[in-house]
Amino acid sequence: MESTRMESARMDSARSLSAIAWGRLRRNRVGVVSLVVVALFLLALLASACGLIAQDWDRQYALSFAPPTFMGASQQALQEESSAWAPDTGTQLDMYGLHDPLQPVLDQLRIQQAQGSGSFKGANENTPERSATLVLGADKWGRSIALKVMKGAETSVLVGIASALLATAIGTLFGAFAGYLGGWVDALIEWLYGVFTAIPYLLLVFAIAAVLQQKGVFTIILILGLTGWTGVYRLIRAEYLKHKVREYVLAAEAIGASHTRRMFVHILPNVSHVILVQLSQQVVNFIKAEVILSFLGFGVPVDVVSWGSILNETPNELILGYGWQLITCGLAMAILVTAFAMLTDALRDALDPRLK
Amino acid sequence: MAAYLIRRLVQMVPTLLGVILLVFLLFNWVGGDPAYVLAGKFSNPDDIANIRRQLGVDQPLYIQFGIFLRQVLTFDYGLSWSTQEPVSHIFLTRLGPSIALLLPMLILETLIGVAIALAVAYVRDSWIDRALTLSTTAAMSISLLIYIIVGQYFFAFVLGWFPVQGWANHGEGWVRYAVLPILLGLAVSIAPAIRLYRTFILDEMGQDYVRTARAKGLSETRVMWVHVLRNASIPIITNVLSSLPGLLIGAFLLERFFSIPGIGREVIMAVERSDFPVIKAITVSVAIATMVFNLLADLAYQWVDPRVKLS
Amino acid sequence: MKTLLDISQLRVSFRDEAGAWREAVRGVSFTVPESGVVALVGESGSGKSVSSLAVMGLLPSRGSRIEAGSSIRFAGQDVLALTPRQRRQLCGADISMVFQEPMSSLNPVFRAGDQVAEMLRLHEGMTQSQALERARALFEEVGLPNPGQKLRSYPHGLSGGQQQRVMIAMAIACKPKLLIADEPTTALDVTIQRQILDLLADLRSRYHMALLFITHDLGVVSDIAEHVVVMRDGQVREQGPASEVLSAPKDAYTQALLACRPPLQGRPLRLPQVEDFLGPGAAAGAVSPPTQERVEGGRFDAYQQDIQPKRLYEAKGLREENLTASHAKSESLLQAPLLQAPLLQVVELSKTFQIRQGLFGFKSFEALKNVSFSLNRGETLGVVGESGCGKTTLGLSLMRLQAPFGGKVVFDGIDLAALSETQWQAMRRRIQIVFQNPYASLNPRFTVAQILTEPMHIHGIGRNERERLDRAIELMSQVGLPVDALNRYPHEFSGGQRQRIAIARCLALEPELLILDESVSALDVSVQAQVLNLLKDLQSKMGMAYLFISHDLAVVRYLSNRILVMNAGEVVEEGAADSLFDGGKHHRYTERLLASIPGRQIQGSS
Repeated sequence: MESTRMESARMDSARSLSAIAWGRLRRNRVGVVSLVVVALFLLALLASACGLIAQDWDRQYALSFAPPTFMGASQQALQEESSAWAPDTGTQLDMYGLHDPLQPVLDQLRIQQAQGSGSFKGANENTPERSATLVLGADKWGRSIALKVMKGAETSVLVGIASALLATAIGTLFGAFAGYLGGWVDALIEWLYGVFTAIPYLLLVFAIAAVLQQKGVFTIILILGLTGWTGVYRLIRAEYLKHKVREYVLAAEAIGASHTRRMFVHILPNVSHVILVQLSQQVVNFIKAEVILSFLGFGVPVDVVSWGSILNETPNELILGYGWQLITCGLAMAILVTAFAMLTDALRDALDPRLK
Repeated sequence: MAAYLIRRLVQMVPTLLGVILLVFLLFNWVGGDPAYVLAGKFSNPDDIANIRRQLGVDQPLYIQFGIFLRQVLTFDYGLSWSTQEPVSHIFLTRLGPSIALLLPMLILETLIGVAIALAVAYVRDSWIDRALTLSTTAAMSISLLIYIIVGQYFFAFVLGWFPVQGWANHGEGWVRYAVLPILLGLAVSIAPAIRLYRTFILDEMGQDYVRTARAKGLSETRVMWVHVLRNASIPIITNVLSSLPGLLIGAFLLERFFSIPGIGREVIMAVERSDFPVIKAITVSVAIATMVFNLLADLAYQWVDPRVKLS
Repeated sequence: MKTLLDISQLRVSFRDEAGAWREAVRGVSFTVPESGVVALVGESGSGKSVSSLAVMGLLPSRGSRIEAGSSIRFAGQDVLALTPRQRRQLCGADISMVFQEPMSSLNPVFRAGDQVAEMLRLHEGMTQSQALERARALFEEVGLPNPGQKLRSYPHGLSGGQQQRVMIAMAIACKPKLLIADEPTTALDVTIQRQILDLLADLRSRYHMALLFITHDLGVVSDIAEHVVVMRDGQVREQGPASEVLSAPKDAYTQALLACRPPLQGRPLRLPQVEDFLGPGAAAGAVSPPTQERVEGGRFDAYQQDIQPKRLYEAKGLREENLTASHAKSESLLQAPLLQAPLLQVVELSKTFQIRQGLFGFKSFEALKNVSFSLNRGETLGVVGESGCGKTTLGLSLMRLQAPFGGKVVFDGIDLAALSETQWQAMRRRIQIVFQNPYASLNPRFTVAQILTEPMHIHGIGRNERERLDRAIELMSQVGLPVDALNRYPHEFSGGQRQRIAIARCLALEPELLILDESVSALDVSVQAQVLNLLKDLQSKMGMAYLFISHDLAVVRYLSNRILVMNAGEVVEEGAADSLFDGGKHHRYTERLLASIPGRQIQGSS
């Protein structure tokens, strides 16, 4: 009896907490599905970043506002074929009574690109014929919405992930030092936290955007990352406060483990579940933030396409009766963000240390 | 009580100084020379020197900081760079519409959110609960831009039920203009509210005193509405109060789309026009409001929770 | 006597994480007679609380179910067949319940009086003012001082004992026929426990109500119960009149439970363990030392010879050692020349905490007031006292885990307070500590091998990883754990096993002084016996000195040579362990502690 018990113990031995969490995640059907969706997105984005797909998203494949293939070609589109891709100033219905300062620049750029040099693969000189329909339709310039949204996703998700990594790293480090060391270090970081949270997050981002004249993907990442650490910090500090008086940490001190060792070898792995969940949640938050910033024109520069800049085009299109870009972009974003959010929930459940 | 208030107010001073310093460094140091922004592309050195003198940016940084500090204390931020209107006047006139939009939204959101969260907690772990959790997750993942773009297009532009844009501060006009933005704002904010309140309520339902209440033979309704809700209201009230100032800015998209002359829209326009005095004034003022409301939230917390003593 | 509550073939299942149903209560049957007192006894996981929650209908509605064929009848009525509404009328009015944690069981945002009044308004139809009037009378009856003021108090403004009195007042408000008390005194200090037990006994006879008392503590049972039901693993092992079950248990498990508590009289060399009665592998989750032989009568000798050949002089039928001197003797055999200077000398140790109060003000709280004592090599000094007496602060201060302190701590002639960080680091090897909660004291992300080799690594013991691992293997067998457990994680072990790992971690540094801070308090009594035995074995083998801190007088006395009684940060009495129970003159506080120990009669007979 004793030996069989030992046997079975050996069979499932060495199941670390992370292995258990992974097992739990795999049993959660919603978690697996969302993990697969997120992974597919990331793979597609990696491919587009490496230039494997969507490289020539800027090519004019079709007529202006060509509908999706499954809808069939529209009469209107065929009629407008002649003047299809040229920016139609008549369509610039400004329903909001607001002046979009970027629109002329944007249009000018498009024209230059379309007519221009060989830097854009398949620019119009070797596109003799533009089709009347496209997989998911075409935008004002006849570009494929499918490819454009994919390219936009690359920017938005890159910004989301990179700034989430930055913010989480800062928050974790600050939280660890403040919570563990206490004293004047804690007082200083708490003061900084007080200052950063007194200003509403978006207002702070706007203020920085107003000051920084040059725009770029890297700038956006920095802005979001440097301002978004407060939430993670709060949680990690609380965790460190809780853990530093736990008996296993006292025991580590009793056997002579150094502060650094206690902070990063003992406590950090035990709060890693909080960090992971926060990271995944931050990605979602920052994707949303980037979309809003770019929509307002405070985000990525005009020559970079992102979900925000795509959505910026859609209110005017809607009034003209063209909703495909809005639907595609909105859906792509909703699917990714839902998957990420559900993955976050699944991670939270799987990593919950209370469930053993 | 008085001792507590005084201590909290004293503690606010370093935070406020930090905010002022942060804003100052951002605009007067990181931002570079504002004269070039003001003077535009084609300007001669004389113009620039002139503007620099007017703005005081030819002074050393510590004097500039002193000027800014005095501006904050006297609530006199000078004139807007783009409209020449006094900045404090801009702030005060834009506050009204923002509050007229946000207050009803916040009240509705809290009431509806708590009611639905209680109902969901009542049937926790059932398929209704799971379905609602799933749909709130999905609802939260759609960008608020899309809610507003589609909502405005469909309800105002296509159906014509509401005016596309515009604003009136009170009376019938307010009702006419405010309903759609409020409804759209609710559509965006209700899902996260339900999720948050649901966790507050479920946290309380796991406590031992709930078991005691059931052991006393109380009906489930009384357990939920009296014992659980009274305890869960503590984090809910705190949360609502401290989220108020953030909303002032959070509704900027609504204000922008519906042309509501509020604080949020003012910020966006100021950023677009590089109107630094306006941004600085709004940033510092909203930060002060946040601190005051956090203090109010703490006071409310101690008022509803007998465990915390004012000391 | 008429039967009031009749539970028969009760089976309750819970759904585990994988969605499978697992039976926690497996066919339990017992009865409670009208105005009788029945004690439901068992260790953790025995299903005793689940059974009582099933009676009250308080099992979670999802994730648990009462299996078909179970029956609960109260006063002839089938409780399980009632509608929820009828069930609620029964609960509170005819059956009421008192829980283990009075602090969390009372609603924190309602006044104590209102919580009692709610009961009366609901079940007796009283108005608020009538109900409060009655609540005031009830508060008086349960012995709350100043009842008028306590009516208006919130739960956090009451002490633990007072909170439990409010819970009891609430439970008896509607004059129930049956009061279920689920570990009502476990969270309380021993002197408060005594008062609550007396109160319950008094109320029961005054109200003619039946009492179903759920506990893990056989001592408490002997004080209060007429009838005893012993449960283990969701089944009833034995039931019968208290006098029979406690004095002549028929079931082997009951025998084991009774035997493995440290007795108040006499001092066996080793405590009997559950597997001595039930056979190997029977103790819940405990791994017995692999070399142990179980030969009736000679089992203790055999075991000790096997793992500690040095101690032959003590073997051969020596089961009792009443002499405090025998420790000194064994020590003199091991380390003859070390008797002169004490290993540890504590002189007027003080510790003050600052508590923020008012505007920038502080109030100071003295946790230790001029505590002095000394401890010899190989000796065990017990420190006993109730919660808040400063005993834990004492242990942490000695380890410099709490700083700074006034007074002097001299270890082997060295003043610890005067040491620099580097010097103290070297000194750490010689003083180690084992904490109370085995679930919190091991890093859940480390394997056992990592846990055991880490201290060696830090202090440069062993030349390489191989050597350290060999030493870890040795340590595992020293504390009686299988070697293949080395690459497993703490969560795969039971509480007793984890405590062995924590001890092994200390042993890795070969300390001269081991501080045991409530180290067996969180363990079930059967596991506690195993760990106490292990500690005794290790001490006589390695000659360590122990500073044994506990609230449990019986356990402290069993392990210690001398005892320090602490109250409110002060040492009120110091003396030989065996003189504590000899009926001699003691300090007033010590006498009160002694009088509060539950179950003196069964303790005396064993």
